[in-house]
Amino acid sequence: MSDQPGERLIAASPAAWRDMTRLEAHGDHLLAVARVVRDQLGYGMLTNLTAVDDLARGEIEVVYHVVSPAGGAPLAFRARTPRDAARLPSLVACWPGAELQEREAYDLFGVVFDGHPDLRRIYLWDDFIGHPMRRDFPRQGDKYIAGAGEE
Amino acid sequence: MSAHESHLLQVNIGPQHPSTHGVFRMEVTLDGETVVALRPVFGYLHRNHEQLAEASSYIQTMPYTDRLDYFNSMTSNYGYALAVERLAGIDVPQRANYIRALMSELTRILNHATAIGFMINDMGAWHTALQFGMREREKILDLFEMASGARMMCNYFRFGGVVRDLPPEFLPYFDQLMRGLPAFFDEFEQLLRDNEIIVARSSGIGILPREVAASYSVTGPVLRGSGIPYDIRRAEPYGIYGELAFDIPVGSVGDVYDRTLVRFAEMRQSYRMLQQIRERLPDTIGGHINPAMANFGKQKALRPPAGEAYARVESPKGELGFYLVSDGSTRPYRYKVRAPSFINLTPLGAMCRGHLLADVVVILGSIDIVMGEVDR
Repeated sequence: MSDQPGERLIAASPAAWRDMTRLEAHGDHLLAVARVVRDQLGYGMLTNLTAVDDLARGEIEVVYHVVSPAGGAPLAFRARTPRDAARLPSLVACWPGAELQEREAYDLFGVVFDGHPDLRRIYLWDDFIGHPMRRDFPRQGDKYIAGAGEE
Repeated sequence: MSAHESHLLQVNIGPQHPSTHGVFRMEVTLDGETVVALRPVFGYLHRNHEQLAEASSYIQTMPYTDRLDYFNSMTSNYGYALAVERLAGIDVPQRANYIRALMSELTRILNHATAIGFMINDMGAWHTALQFGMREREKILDLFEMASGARMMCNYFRFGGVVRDLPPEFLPYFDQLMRGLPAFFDEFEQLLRDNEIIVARSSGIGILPREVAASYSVTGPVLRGSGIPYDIRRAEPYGIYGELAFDIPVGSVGDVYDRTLVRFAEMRQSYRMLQQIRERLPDTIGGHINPAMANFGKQKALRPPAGEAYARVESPKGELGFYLVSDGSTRPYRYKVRAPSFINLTPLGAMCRGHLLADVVVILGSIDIVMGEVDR
């Protein structure tokens, strides 16, 4: 698997990250990047975590917004993972505040976060099939179709 | 199962329970009356708000944001309007920004007044204390009704401003409310702040230490109660908040009592901001909405350029953020709500561990959640 964005990020010094228009980490480096963002850049709070289903590229992008408790605008960094085997390392070890939001991204988008202490569905019931926020989740009107989204 | 574990008791609190602020369930493991573990269970009010927004045009979602935090529809509107304006590059006139801040600070007073009341409900003072908060809330809802036509589901904000200017009867009623507010704060604090039973039930309970509070992503009075002066109105000012003088009250211990004191103090700060807004409001220029967006057809046909935006406001419960991705069409490609009451529940289990079962509802009350926003 190509690792262009991740390698670029590791090669550049963390101080330059702030000025990058797009901070993209490879899944293998995500936890290391998160630790640098937290400890060296001073972004002590993970405020927002969300997934975006990029149907055209066949990937799911997970976006992390971090802020510094001292103030200022958030910094966004992101990681991509293939839709059919969506899997990224969990950042709960770095920011415990990621716990519920990673469960949400798992429930609605089907991203598996490795190392999450309690990765279960959060809003939908346990035997629900599929992940309804994916762009190709079948919809008929606004009714839920039983068994839809079965892989 | 070990001999020690065999006497542990599993108790379900909710989803139908008068103290859980809506359909919210907690799975509690008890050793006698002491909480050993607590797991919050979500989803009873889930309606996939985000998917509905992705299937609607941008402006169609505005009234739906009212239903997130149905106590504070004005600040929910504000966060969403801000995100779309950032995405589409829409300017907001000065007067509209003043009206927006005025509505936000009124919202904060009504939220905190009732949140304190509801928490005291949870302590067992059934509805008596709450009535003081409700009384002021009714007056503020009268103002919302004058401006927007609705008391709770205001749907007042539009991209580039607000739907209509303040009606002539608004300011006289507002001035009358403002005259009465200091007496209300005094009375409310006198009754509740130093009340022996409330202090006994809340101090030392549900401590969230300063060192870990930020890492749990909590915001709003919960974070400030733990002693971190983080407020988005100061950290990343939006609208006119950069021009307003206000202090950020913080707690010292991070217990239930500190969070309550922060809410008491924040109401007074909101009052201070309202005074400044009221003073400058007659001289504001630019009308209530950006003229380019005044026609509702423009709102409906909005097609922000492809890109993404994240905007956040300090809602009374914490950081309310909206993340939007546009593909250039009339509907957002991705719409995500960063709901403060949901994320503030992350440390609930840690805060309740070691306390009595009766304290669990008080700790939950001190976080101040609304299920419309938690479950979305």
